[in-house]
Amino acid sequence: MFNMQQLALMMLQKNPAVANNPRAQEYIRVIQSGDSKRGAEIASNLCESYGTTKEEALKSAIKFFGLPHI
Amino acid sequence: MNSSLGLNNPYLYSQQNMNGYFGNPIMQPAQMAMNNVQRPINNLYGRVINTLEEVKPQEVPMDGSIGIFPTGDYSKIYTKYWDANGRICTEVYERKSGTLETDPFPANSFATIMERLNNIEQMLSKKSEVTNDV
Repeated sequence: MFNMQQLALMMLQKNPAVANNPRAQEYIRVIQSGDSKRGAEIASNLCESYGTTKEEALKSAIKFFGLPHI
Repeated sequence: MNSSLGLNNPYLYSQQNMNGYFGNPIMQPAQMAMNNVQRPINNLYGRVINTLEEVKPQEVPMDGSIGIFPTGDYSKIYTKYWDANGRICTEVYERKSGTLETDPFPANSFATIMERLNNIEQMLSKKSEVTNDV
């Protein structure tokens, strides 16, 4: 079964640039806690910072990681 | 300055481009292997810029360090970093107008000191003469 939460957590924790980053620890904490509202807020901020939309970001992520379409 | 800081080092910067898939949709296995290499800790990331607007989000390091972006004339230095909310924070450091430090030893200070020493010497000489006369 495809579990987006587990996948995101694994990707963040296995990335040394993120895992050792005190600021990114908040991202990990949010995913672990399952706080979807806070997660959506951070995701929205990230999209805004990158100048992209949620849909475009999702599309790029699916393509980049070769994920099955949700 | 740039070489010591690695500000214009494209290799250094390419290693920094780990900001995910936003600006780099296709990553080759070789690149992925390179990204897994542990980077030295004390590198500075950034480059010389003309305007703040030209800094792309992908240029802001996502490893918790701060991107440093001095302007071409080095009058300002912008720093950028990601906060815990997924937003980019920008700070600016501006050069203070240069002021000359006041010289603790003015040009004529040596002459003044010598003059005073001569006066003291003369006073002592006179006193010595008076003492000898007595």
